[in-house]
Amino acid sequence: MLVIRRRAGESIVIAGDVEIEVLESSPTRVKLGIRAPREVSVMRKEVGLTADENRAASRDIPLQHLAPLVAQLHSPPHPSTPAGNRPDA
Amino acid sequence: MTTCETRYFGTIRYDEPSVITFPAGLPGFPQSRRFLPVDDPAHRPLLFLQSLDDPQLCFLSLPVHLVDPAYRLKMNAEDLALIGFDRLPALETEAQCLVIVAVAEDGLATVNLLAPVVINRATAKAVQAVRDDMVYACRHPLARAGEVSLCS
Repeated sequence: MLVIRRRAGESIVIAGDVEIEVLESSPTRVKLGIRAPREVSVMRKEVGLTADENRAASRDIPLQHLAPLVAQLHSPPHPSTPAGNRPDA
Repeated sequence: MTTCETRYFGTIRYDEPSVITFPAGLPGFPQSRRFLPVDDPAHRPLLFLQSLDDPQLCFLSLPVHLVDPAYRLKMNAEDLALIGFDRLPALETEAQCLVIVAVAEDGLATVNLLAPVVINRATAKAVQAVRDDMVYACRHPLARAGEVSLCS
C-alpha cells in the first residue's frame, strides 16, 4: 500500500485521471472530494461490498437448498445454547 | 390485479399496494426499483423480493429480528430522506427491516447485516441502507448448528 500524508486542501492523483482532494480533516473523520471521469465508479468501500453480496445473492438458488435452511430456522434452540427468545417449555 | 413473471413461482397475481419501490435501486442493481415481496408458506420465514423490472431477479430475505433480536439499526441522513423519514424509524412499527440472504455453492447461507433493507411501511419506499460503521458483517453466517432459531 502506498502511504501519503495530506492536509486539508491537498490532493492526490491516480492514473492521471482521478483526483482525490482532502476537503476537511478532523480527528474523527476526513471529508474527501473526488474528481473522476463518468465511467469510473467511485463509492464507499462498504457499498461495493454490498454490491458484491447482492450479485452473489441474486444468483439462482436451487429451492432444495432452501428446505434445510427453512427447517433450521424453525428448529428449536439447542438446549446448551442461550440464544433465542423462545419461552421455556 | 396485475400479473408478473417470477423467478421461482411462475406467473403470479398481485396488486399495486403490495409493491415496494427503491428510489435508488440497490447497490449493484441501480435500475431495479420495483419489487414485490412474496410470502410463500412453504419457505417461511424467508421472504422473497421479486423484481418487477427483471423477472429473473429475486432476492431472498429474512426479517432482521429473526437473525438478531437486538439488531441496532443505523441509517445516514441521505438514506432516511430517500424513504421519507426525518429520524430513525421504529422497528417494526414504522419500518420493516429485512436482511438479504446469499447462499454459497456449498450451501452455506449468510445474511448482510451491514446493509439491511429498510421499508417505510406508510409509503412502501425502501432503501438498502449501507452502514458506515463496521459493527455488523456483510456475510453473517446462518444455519450453523445450534445458533439459529426462530425468535418470537
